Amino acid sequence: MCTAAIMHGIHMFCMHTSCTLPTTQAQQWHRDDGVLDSRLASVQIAISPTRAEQGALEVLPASHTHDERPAAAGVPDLPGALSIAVPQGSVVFYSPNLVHRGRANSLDEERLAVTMNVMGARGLVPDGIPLAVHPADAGRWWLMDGALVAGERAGSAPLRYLQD
Amino acid sequence: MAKVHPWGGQTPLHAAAFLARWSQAWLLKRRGAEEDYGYHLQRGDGLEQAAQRTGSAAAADRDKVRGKAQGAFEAAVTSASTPAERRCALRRLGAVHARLGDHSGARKVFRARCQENGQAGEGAADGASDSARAEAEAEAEAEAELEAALAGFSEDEERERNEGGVAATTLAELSVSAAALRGVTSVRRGAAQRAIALWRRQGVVVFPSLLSGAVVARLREHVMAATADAVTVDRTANIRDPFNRTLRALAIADAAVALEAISEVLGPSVHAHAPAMCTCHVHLPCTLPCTCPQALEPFLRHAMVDAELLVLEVAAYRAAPGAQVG
Repeated sequence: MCTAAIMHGIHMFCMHTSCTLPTTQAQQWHRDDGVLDSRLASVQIAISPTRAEQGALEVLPASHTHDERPAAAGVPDLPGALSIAVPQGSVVFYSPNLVHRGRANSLDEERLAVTMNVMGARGLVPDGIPLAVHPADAGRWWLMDGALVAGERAGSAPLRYLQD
Repeated sequence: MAKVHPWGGQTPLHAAAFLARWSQAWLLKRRGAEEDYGYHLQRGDGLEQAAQRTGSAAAADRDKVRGKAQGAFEAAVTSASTPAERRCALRRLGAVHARLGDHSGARKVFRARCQENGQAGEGAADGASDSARAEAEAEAEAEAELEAALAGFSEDEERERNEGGVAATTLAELSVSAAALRGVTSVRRGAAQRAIALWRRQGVVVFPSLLSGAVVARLREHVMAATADAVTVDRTANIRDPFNRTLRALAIADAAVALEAISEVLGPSVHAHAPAMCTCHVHLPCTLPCTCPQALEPFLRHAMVDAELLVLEVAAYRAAPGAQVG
Protein backbone atom coordinates (compact mmCIF):
# COMPACT_ATOMS: atom_id res chain seq x y z
CA MET A 1 0.00 0.00 0.00
CA CYS A 2 1.46 3.34 -0.92
CA THR A 3 2.24 6.08 1.51
CA ALA A 4 0.31 9.32 1.84
CA ALA A 5 3.22 11.17 0.29
CA ILE A 6 3.09 8.99 -2.75
CA MET A 7 -0.65 9.40 -2.94
CA HIS A 8 -0.05 13.03 -3.80
CA GLY A 9 2.74 12.50 -6.28
CA ILE A 10 2.57 11.87 -10.00
CA HIS A 11 3.01 8.28 -11.10
CA MET A 12 5.19 7.60 -14.15
CA PHE A 13 3.76 4.41 -15.52
CA CYS A 14 5.08 4.17 -19.02
CA MET A 15 7.94 5.46 -21.13
CA HIS A 16 8.74 4.54 -24.67
CA THR A 17 10.40 5.65 -27.84
CA SER A 18 8.67 5.66 -31.17
CA CYS A 19 10.03 5.85 -34.66
CA THR A 20 8.04 6.65 -37.78
CA LEU A 21 9.92 5.66 -40.91
CA PRO A 22 9.55 7.22 -44.35
CA THR A 23 6.61 5.87 -46.38
CA THR A 24 4.58 5.18 -43.21
CA GLN A 25 0.85 5.63 -43.70
CA ALA A 26 -1.33 7.72 -41.41
CA GLN A 27 -2.96 6.07 -38.43
CA GLN A 28 -6.69 6.07 -38.02
CA TRP A 29 -8.08 8.75 -35.75
CA HIS A 30 -8.50 7.44 -32.24
CA ARG A 31 -8.59 8.06 -28.52
CA ASP A 32 -6.22 5.85 -26.58
CA ASP A 33 -7.95 2.62 -25.70
CA GLY A 34 -9.55 2.21 -22.34
CA VAL A 35 -8.44 5.56 -20.98
CA LEU A 36 -11.39 7.23 -19.32
CA ASP A 37 -9.67 9.30 -16.71
CA SER A 38 -8.74 12.95 -16.99
CA ARG A 39 -5.92 12.43 -14.52
CA LEU A 40 -3.69 10.96 -17.21
CA ALA A 41 -1.33 12.78 -19.51
CA SER A 42 0.99 11.81 -22.31
CA VAL A 43 4.18 13.84 -22.50
CA GLN A 44 5.81 13.62 -25.92
CA ILE A 45 9.30 14.93 -26.64
CA ALA A 46 10.50 15.56 -30.19
CA ILE A 47 13.92 13.96 -30.53
CA SER A 48 14.12 15.06 -34.12
CA PRO A 49 12.76 18.18 -35.82
CA THR A 50 9.28 17.20 -36.91
CA ARG A 51 7.51 18.55 -39.93
CA ALA A 52 3.84 17.88 -40.47
CA GLU A 53 4.48 15.48 -43.36
CA GLN A 54 7.09 13.59 -41.32
CA GLY A 55 4.59 11.52 -39.34
CA ALA A 56 3.81 14.27 -36.86
CA LEU A 57 1.27 13.91 -34.10
CA GLU A 58 -2.06 15.33 -35.27
CA VAL A 59 -4.76 16.32 -32.79
CA LEU A 60 -8.32 17.54 -32.70
CA PRO A 61 -8.15 20.34 -30.10
CA ALA A 62 -10.77 20.39 -27.34
CA SER A 63 -11.94 16.87 -28.16
CA HIS A 64 -10.80 15.50 -24.78
CA THR A 65 -14.02 16.12 -22.89
CA HIS A 66 -15.86 13.04 -24.04
CA ASP A 67 -17.96 14.97 -26.49
CA GLU A 68 -19.57 13.19 -29.37
CA ARG A 69 -17.18 14.19 -32.10
CA PRO A 70 -16.15 10.89 -33.58
CA ALA A 71 -12.68 9.57 -34.00
CA ALA A 72 -13.88 8.74 -37.48
CA ALA A 73 -12.24 5.65 -38.85
CA GLY A 74 -10.93 6.08 -42.32
CA VAL A 75 -11.47 9.82 -42.47
CA PRO A 76 -8.21 11.23 -43.82
CA ASP A 77 -8.75 14.87 -42.97
CA LEU A 78 -10.78 15.61 -39.89
CA PRO A 79 -12.03 19.22 -39.89
CA GLY A 80 -10.34 21.25 -37.18
CA ALA A 81 -7.38 18.90 -36.80
CA LEU A 82 -3.93 20.40 -36.23
CA SER A 83 -0.54 18.88 -36.99
CA ILE A 84 2.01 19.30 -34.21
CA ALA A 85 4.95 20.28 -36.38
CA VAL A 86 7.65 21.28 -33.93
CA PRO A 87 11.39 21.82 -33.62
CA GLN A 88 13.63 19.31 -31.90
CA GLY A 89 13.33 19.45 -28.11
CA SER A 90 9.69 20.50 -28.14
CA VAL A 91 7.45 18.99 -25.48
CA VAL A 92 3.75 18.27 -25.99
CA PHE A 93 1.39 17.43 -23.13
CA TYR A 94 -1.82 15.85 -24.39
CA SER A 95 -4.73 14.00 -22.93
CA PRO A 96 -5.09 10.36 -23.98
CA ASN A 97 -8.78 11.22 -24.42
CA LEU A 98 -7.94 13.71 -27.14
CA VAL A 99 -8.81 12.53 -30.65
CA HIS A 100 -5.42 12.11 -32.30
CA ARG A 101 -3.29 10.05 -34.68
CA GLY A 102 0.16 9.79 -36.15
CA ARG A 103 0.29 11.32 -39.60
CA ALA A 104 1.83 9.70 -42.62
CA ASN A 105 5.54 10.20 -43.17
CA SER A 106 5.92 11.21 -46.79
CA LEU A 107 9.39 12.67 -46.34
CA ASP A 108 12.79 11.00 -46.45
CA GLU A 109 13.61 11.38 -42.76
CA GLU A 110 12.36 9.27 -39.90
CA ARG A 111 10.58 10.86 -36.97
CA LEU A 112 11.86 10.04 -33.47
CA ALA A 113 9.98 10.81 -30.26
CA VAL A 114 10.05 9.84 -26.62
CA THR A 115 6.73 9.62 -24.81
CA MET A 116 6.10 9.39 -21.08
CA ASN A 117 2.73 8.57 -19.60
CA VAL A 118 1.93 9.98 -16.18
CA MET A 119 -0.99 9.69 -13.82
CA GLY A 120 -2.14 11.83 -10.91
CA ALA A 121 -2.84 10.32 -7.50
CA ARG A 122 -6.08 8.40 -7.32
CA GLY A 123 -6.15 8.09 -11.07
CA LEU A 124 -8.17 5.25 -12.44
CA VAL A 125 -6.11 2.40 -13.79
CA PRO A 126 -6.11 2.52 -17.58
CA ASP A 127 -7.16 -0.64 -19.32
CA GLY A 128 -4.35 -2.31 -21.20
CA ILE A 129 -1.58 -0.42 -19.47
CA PRO A 130 1.32 -0.94 -19.13
CA LEU A 131 1.70 -0.91 -22.84
CA ALA A 132 5.40 -0.26 -23.03
CA VAL A 133 7.27 -0.45 -19.76
CA HIS A 134 10.14 -2.59 -18.59
CA PRO A 135 8.90 -5.12 -16.03
CA ALA A 136 11.34 -3.77 -13.43
CA ASP A 137 9.84 -0.29 -13.83
CA ALA A 138 6.19 -1.27 -13.57
CA GLY A 139 4.45 0.58 -10.76
CA ARG A 140 7.72 1.82 -9.35
CA TRP A 141 8.35 5.43 -10.33
CA TRP A 142 6.87 8.63 -8.94
CA LEU A 143 7.49 12.29 -9.52
CA MET A 144 7.67 13.81 -6.07
CA ASP A 145 8.88 17.27 -5.19
CA GLY A 146 10.27 17.59 -8.66
CA ALA A 147 12.40 14.48 -8.50
CA LEU A 148 11.93 11.07 -10.05
CA VAL A 149 11.71 8.70 -7.08
CA ALA A 150 11.58 4.92 -6.95
CA GLY A 151 8.73 3.68 -4.77
CA GLU A 152 10.98 1.89 -2.29
CA ARG A 153 12.89 5.12 -1.59
CA ALA A 154 9.62 6.77 -0.64
CA GLY A 155 8.75 4.02 1.80
CA SER A 156 6.64 1.96 -0.52
CA ALA A 157 7.07 -1.34 -2.23
CA PRO A 158 6.63 -1.12 -5.98
CA LEU A 159 2.97 -0.91 -6.85
CA ARG A 160 1.45 -3.75 -8.76
CA TYR A 161 -0.51 -3.47 -11.94
CA LEU A 162 -3.71 -5.36 -12.46
CA GLN A 163 -1.99 -7.62 -14.95
CA ASP A 164 0.59 -8.82 -12.41
CA MET B 1 -15.05 -6.91 -3.18
CA ALA B 2 -14.39 -3.41 -1.92
CA LYS B 3 -10.66 -4.02 -1.90
CA VAL B 4 -8.53 -0.92 -2.32
CA HIS B 5 -6.54 -0.91 -5.49
CA PRO B 6 -2.79 -0.65 -4.89
CA TRP B 7 -2.32 2.07 -7.49
CA GLY B 8 -3.86 4.82 -5.49
CA GLY B 9 -6.65 3.87 -3.18
CA GLN B 10 -9.25 3.21 -5.85
CA THR B 11 -12.08 0.87 -5.01
CA PRO B 12 -14.64 -0.71 -7.32
CA LEU B 13 -17.00 1.93 -5.99
CA HIS B 14 -14.80 4.66 -7.41
CA ALA B 15 -14.82 3.01 -10.81
CA ALA B 16 -18.58 2.52 -10.75
CA ALA B 17 -19.05 6.14 -9.76
CA PHE B 18 -16.65 7.48 -12.34
CA LEU B 19 -18.41 5.54 -15.06
CA ALA B 20 -21.82 6.58 -13.72
CA ARG B 21 -22.85 2.97 -13.21
CA TRP B 22 -25.28 3.73 -10.45
CA SER B 23 -26.86 0.28 -10.29
CA GLN B 24 -23.42 -1.28 -9.84
CA ALA B 25 -22.55 1.27 -7.17
CA TRP B 26 -25.79 0.48 -5.38
CA LEU B 27 -25.06 -3.25 -5.48
CA LEU B 28 -21.53 -2.70 -4.22
CA LYS B 29 -22.81 -0.68 -1.29
CA ARG B 30 -25.40 -3.34 -0.51
CA ARG B 31 -22.56 -5.86 -0.43
CA GLY B 32 -20.70 -3.77 2.10
CA ALA B 33 -18.44 -1.59 -0.01
CA GLU B 34 -17.08 1.16 2.17
CA GLU B 35 -17.79 4.71 1.12
CA ASP B 36 -14.95 7.11 1.60
CA TYR B 37 -14.60 10.78 0.87
CA GLY B 38 -12.76 10.07 -2.34
CA TYR B 39 -15.79 8.20 -3.54
CA HIS B 40 -18.05 11.08 -2.60
CA LEU B 41 -15.87 13.51 -4.47
CA GLN B 42 -16.07 11.48 -7.61
CA ARG B 43 -19.64 10.48 -7.27
CA GLY B 44 -21.68 13.54 -6.54
CA ASP B 45 -25.12 12.10 -7.01
CA GLY B 46 -25.39 11.90 -10.76
CA LEU B 47 -26.33 15.54 -11.22
CA GLU B 48 -22.77 16.29 -12.23
CA GLN B 49 -22.81 13.71 -14.97
CA ALA B 50 -26.15 15.01 -16.14
CA ALA B 51 -24.74 18.51 -16.19
CA GLN B 52 -21.74 17.33 -18.15
CA ARG B 53 -23.95 15.62 -20.70
CA THR B 54 -26.47 18.37 -21.15
CA GLY B 55 -24.26 21.37 -20.62
CA SER B 56 -26.02 22.52 -17.49
CA ALA B 57 -27.72 21.32 -14.38
CA ALA B 58 -31.45 21.83 -14.24
CA ALA B 59 -32.22 25.14 -12.57
CA ALA B 60 -34.01 23.44 -9.70
CA ASP B 61 -30.93 21.33 -9.01
CA ARG B 62 -28.36 24.10 -8.93
CA ASP B 63 -28.44 24.79 -5.23
CA LYS B 64 -28.29 21.08 -4.59
CA VAL B 65 -25.28 20.64 -6.83
CA ARG B 66 -23.58 23.65 -5.34
CA GLY B 67 -24.18 22.45 -1.80
CA LYS B 68 -22.99 18.97 -2.59
CA ALA B 69 -19.82 20.22 -4.22
CA GLN B 70 -18.90 22.42 -1.31
CA GLY B 71 -19.93 19.82 1.26
CA ALA B 72 -17.94 17.07 -0.38
CA PHE B 73 -14.80 19.16 -0.56
CA GLU B 74 -15.16 20.35 3.03
CA ALA B 75 -15.57 16.72 4.06
CA ALA B 76 -12.33 15.90 2.29
CA VAL B 77 -10.49 18.47 4.42
CA THR B 78 -12.02 17.08 7.59
CA SER B 79 -11.33 13.50 6.60
CA ALA B 80 -7.71 14.04 5.60
CA SER B 81 -5.49 11.71 7.58
CA THR B 82 -2.15 13.36 6.87
CA PRO B 83 -0.94 16.96 6.51
CA ALA B 84 -0.17 16.37 2.84
CA GLU B 85 -3.63 15.03 2.19
CA ARG B 86 -5.14 17.96 4.08
CA ARG B 87 -3.21 20.52 2.04
CA CYS B 88 -4.30 18.78 -1.13
CA ALA B 89 -7.93 18.85 0.04
CA LEU B 90 -7.65 22.53 0.94
CA ARG B 91 -6.46 23.34 -2.55
CA ARG B 92 -9.46 21.57 -4.03
CA LEU B 93 -11.85 23.28 -1.64
CA GLY B 94 -10.35 26.64 -2.54
CA ALA B 95 -10.77 25.86 -6.22
CA VAL B 96 -14.44 25.10 -5.71
CA HIS B 97 -14.93 28.37 -3.83
CA ALA B 98 -13.16 30.18 -6.66
CA ARG B 99 -15.30 28.66 -9.36
CA LEU B 100 -18.46 29.35 -7.41
CA GLY B 101 -17.46 32.99 -7.47
CA ASP B 102 -16.54 33.21 -3.77
CA HIS B 103 -13.07 34.63 -4.31
CA SER B 104 -12.58 35.91 -0.78
CA GLY B 105 -13.51 32.47 0.57
CA ALA B 106 -11.08 30.91 -1.89
CA ARG B 107 -8.25 33.22 -0.78
CA LYS B 108 -8.94 32.35 2.85
CA VAL B 109 -8.71 28.63 2.14
CA PHE B 110 -5.57 29.02 0.02
CA ARG B 111 -3.92 31.14 2.73
CA ALA B 112 -4.69 28.43 5.26
CA ARG B 113 -3.16 25.88 2.95
CA CYS B 114 -0.04 27.95 2.44
CA GLN B 115 0.37 28.53 6.16
CA GLU B 116 0.07 24.81 6.85
CA ASN B 117 2.59 24.17 4.13
CA GLY B 118 4.99 26.64 5.72
CA GLN B 119 4.63 24.96 9.07
CA ALA B 120 5.33 21.62 7.46
CA GLY B 121 8.40 23.10 5.79
CA GLU B 122 10.35 24.58 8.66
CA GLY B 123 8.12 25.26 11.60
CA ALA B 124 6.75 28.53 12.90
CA ALA B 125 8.17 31.80 11.65
CA ASP B 126 10.92 33.22 13.81
CA GLY B 127 10.54 36.94 14.49
CA ALA B 128 8.45 39.75 13.07
CA SER B 129 10.22 39.97 9.72
CA ASP B 130 9.84 36.26 9.11
CA SER B 131 6.22 36.51 10.12
CA ALA B 132 5.61 39.37 7.72
CA ARG B 133 7.41 37.53 4.97
CA ALA B 134 5.39 34.39 5.59
CA GLU B 135 2.20 36.46 5.50
CA ALA B 136 3.23 38.06 2.22
CA GLU B 137 4.05 34.67 0.77
CA ALA B 138 0.70 33.32 1.88
CA GLU B 139 -1.06 36.26 0.21
CA ALA B 140 0.91 35.81 -2.99
CA GLU B 141 0.32 32.09 -3.06
CA ALA B 142 -3.38 32.53 -2.36
CA GLU B 143 -3.64 34.91 -5.29
CA ALA B 144 -1.68 32.58 -7.52
CA GLU B 145 -3.79 29.61 -6.48
CA LEU B 146 -6.91 31.59 -7.25
CA GLU B 147 -5.63 32.36 -10.73
CA ALA B 148 -4.71 28.73 -11.30
CA ALA B 149 -8.13 27.58 -10.13
CA LEU B 150 -9.81 29.91 -12.59
CA ALA B 151 -7.44 29.31 -15.51
CA GLY B 152 -9.57 28.27 -18.45
CA PHE B 153 -12.77 29.25 -16.70
CA SER B 154 -12.77 33.02 -17.02
CA GLU B 155 -15.78 34.95 -18.27
CA ASP B 156 -14.19 35.63 -21.65
CA GLU B 157 -13.28 32.01 -22.06
CA GLU B 158 -16.75 30.92 -21.04
CA ARG B 159 -18.27 33.33 -23.53
CA GLU B 160 -16.00 31.96 -26.22
CA ARG B 161 -17.05 28.46 -25.24
CA ASN B 162 -20.73 29.38 -25.55
CA GLU B 163 -20.13 30.90 -28.95
CA GLY B 164 -18.64 27.65 -30.14
CA GLY B 165 -15.12 28.94 -30.53
CA VAL B 166 -13.35 26.89 -27.93
CA ALA B 167 -11.22 24.71 -30.21
CA ALA B 168 -7.86 26.16 -31.22
CA THR B 169 -7.40 26.56 -34.93
CA THR B 170 -3.65 27.14 -35.13
CA LEU B 171 -0.60 25.57 -33.55
CA ALA B 172 0.34 28.95 -32.12
CA GLU B 173 -2.87 28.99 -30.13
CA LEU B 174 -1.81 25.74 -28.46
CA SER B 175 1.73 26.88 -27.76
CA VAL B 176 3.43 28.42 -24.76
CA SER B 177 6.89 29.76 -25.51
CA ALA B 178 9.89 28.75 -23.47
CA ALA B 179 11.05 32.35 -23.61
CA ALA B 180 7.89 33.45 -21.80
CA LEU B 181 8.41 30.75 -19.19
CA ARG B 182 11.94 32.08 -18.68
CA GLY B 183 10.78 35.70 -18.65
CA VAL B 184 10.27 38.16 -15.84
CA THR B 185 7.86 37.20 -13.11
CA SER B 186 4.71 38.64 -14.57
CA VAL B 187 5.37 37.17 -18.03
CA ARG B 188 6.32 33.80 -16.57
CA ARG B 189 3.26 33.74 -14.39
CA GLY B 190 1.00 34.54 -17.33
CA ALA B 191 2.62 31.83 -19.44
CA ALA B 192 2.13 29.23 -16.73
CA GLN B 193 -1.52 30.17 -16.32
CA ARG B 194 -1.97 29.94 -20.05
CA ALA B 195 -0.48 26.43 -20.05
CA ILE B 196 -2.93 25.27 -17.41
CA ALA B 197 -5.83 26.88 -19.24
CA LEU B 198 -4.81 25.25 -22.51
CA TRP B 199 -4.65 21.87 -20.86
CA ARG B 200 -8.12 22.28 -19.44
CA ARG B 201 -9.74 23.76 -22.53
CA GLN B 202 -7.87 22.13 -25.41
CA GLY B 203 -6.53 18.92 -23.88
CA VAL B 204 -3.13 19.67 -25.36
CA VAL B 205 -0.29 22.11 -24.66
CA VAL B 206 2.76 22.56 -26.87
CA PHE B 207 6.07 23.90 -25.55
CA PRO B 208 8.21 24.50 -28.67
CA SER B 209 11.97 24.00 -28.25
CA LEU B 210 11.63 23.57 -24.50
CA LEU B 211 14.62 21.25 -24.12
CA SER B 212 18.19 22.09 -25.02
CA GLY B 213 20.21 20.27 -27.65
CA ALA B 214 22.30 18.68 -24.90
CA VAL B 215 19.27 17.17 -23.19
CA VAL B 216 17.87 15.92 -26.49
CA ALA B 217 21.25 14.41 -27.31
CA ARG B 218 21.22 12.45 -24.04
CA LEU B 219 17.70 11.23 -24.71
CA ARG B 220 18.72 10.24 -28.21
CA GLU B 221 21.50 8.08 -26.74
CA HIS B 222 18.89 6.22 -24.68
CA VAL B 223 16.69 5.86 -27.74
CA MET B 224 19.54 4.43 -29.79
CA ALA B 225 20.48 2.04 -26.99
CA ALA B 226 16.87 0.86 -26.72
CA THR B 227 16.74 0.32 -30.44
CA ALA B 228 19.86 -1.83 -30.32
CA ASP B 229 18.87 -3.69 -27.14
CA ALA B 230 17.62 -7.16 -27.98
CA VAL B 231 15.86 -7.63 -24.65
CA THR B 232 13.97 -4.35 -24.64
CA VAL B 233 10.19 -4.46 -24.47
CA ASP B 234 8.98 -4.02 -28.02
CA ARG B 235 5.30 -3.17 -28.35
CA THR B 236 5.34 -2.34 -32.03
CA ALA B 237 2.86 -5.10 -32.76
CA ASN B 238 0.38 -3.55 -30.32
CA ILE B 239 0.09 -0.12 -31.88
CA ARG B 240 -2.34 1.01 -34.53
CA ASP B 241 -1.21 0.78 -38.11
CA PRO B 242 2.24 -0.55 -37.12
CA PHE B 243 3.74 -0.83 -40.58
CA ASN B 244 6.99 1.17 -40.57
CA ARG B 245 6.36 2.33 -37.02
CA THR B 246 8.18 1.06 -33.93
CA LEU B 247 7.42 1.47 -30.25
CA ARG B 248 9.87 0.27 -27.62
CA ALA B 249 10.06 0.74 -23.88
CA LEU B 250 12.72 2.94 -22.35
CA ALA B 251 13.98 2.65 -18.79
CA ILE B 252 12.02 5.20 -16.78
CA ALA B 253 15.16 6.17 -14.87
CA ASP B 254 16.41 7.58 -18.17
CA ALA B 255 13.55 10.09 -18.06
CA ALA B 256 15.18 11.93 -15.18
CA VAL B 257 17.30 14.10 -17.45
CA ALA B 258 14.24 15.22 -19.40
CA LEU B 259 12.09 15.73 -16.32
CA GLU B 260 14.72 17.89 -14.68
CA ALA B 261 15.08 19.94 -17.82
CA ILE B 262 11.33 20.37 -18.21
CA SER B 263 11.03 21.34 -14.55
CA GLU B 264 13.79 23.87 -14.89
CA VAL B 265 11.97 25.72 -17.64
CA LEU B 266 8.38 25.18 -16.55
CA GLY B 267 9.20 26.58 -13.14
CA PRO B 268 10.81 29.78 -12.05
CA SER B 269 14.58 29.86 -11.82
CA VAL B 270 14.18 32.23 -8.91
CA HIS B 271 11.72 32.45 -6.10
CA ALA B 272 11.08 34.32 -2.94
CA HIS B 273 11.79 31.79 -0.25
CA ALA B 274 14.45 29.39 0.89
CA PRO B 275 14.59 25.98 -0.79
CA ALA B 276 13.68 24.23 2.45
CA MET B 277 10.38 26.09 2.47
CA CYS B 278 9.82 25.73 -1.21
CA THR B 279 6.20 25.31 -2.15
CA CYS B 280 7.03 26.48 -5.60
CA HIS B 281 4.34 26.70 -8.20
CA VAL B 282 4.82 27.52 -11.79
CA HIS B 283 2.96 30.76 -11.20
CA LEU B 284 4.45 31.88 -7.87
CA PRO B 285 5.88 35.37 -7.99
CA CYS B 286 9.57 35.21 -7.13
CA THR B 287 12.31 37.68 -6.32
CA LEU B 288 15.36 35.89 -4.95
CA PRO B 289 17.55 33.45 -6.85
CA CYS B 290 17.66 29.79 -6.00
CA THR B 291 17.30 26.52 -7.82
CA CYS B 292 13.82 25.11 -7.83
CA PRO B 293 13.42 21.54 -9.01
CA GLN B 294 9.76 21.33 -8.09
CA ALA B 295 8.13 22.94 -11.04
CA LEU B 296 6.91 20.12 -13.24
CA GLU B 297 4.97 18.35 -10.53
CA PRO B 298 2.93 21.43 -9.58
CA PHE B 299 2.08 21.99 -13.24
CA LEU B 300 0.93 18.42 -13.52
CA ARG B 301 -0.96 18.71 -10.24
CA HIS B 302 -2.86 21.69 -11.55
CA ALA B 303 -3.32 20.14 -14.94
CA MET B 304 -4.28 16.67 -13.82
CA VAL B 305 -5.02 16.24 -10.16
CA ASP B 306 -7.30 19.24 -10.17
CA ALA B 307 -8.94 17.59 -13.13
CA GLU B 308 -9.55 14.63 -10.86
CA LEU B 309 -12.66 16.46 -9.82
CA LEU B 310 -13.39 18.13 -13.09
CA VAL B 311 -16.86 16.72 -13.48
CA LEU B 312 -17.90 17.95 -10.09
CA GLU B 313 -16.09 21.24 -10.39
CA VAL B 314 -17.46 22.03 -13.81
CA ALA B 315 -20.94 21.27 -12.56
CA ALA B 316 -20.36 23.46 -9.53
CA TYR B 317 -19.16 26.26 -11.75
CA ARG B 318 -22.12 25.96 -14.04
CA ALA B 319 -24.47 25.83 -11.09
CA ALA B 320 -23.12 29.08 -9.69
CA PRO B 321 -25.64 31.93 -9.65
CA GLY B 322 -25.31 33.99 -12.78
CA ALA B 323 -23.04 31.52 -14.51
CA GLN B 324 -23.51 31.16 -18.23
CA VAL B 325 -24.45 27.65 -19.14
CA GLY B 326 -23.92 26.19 -22.55
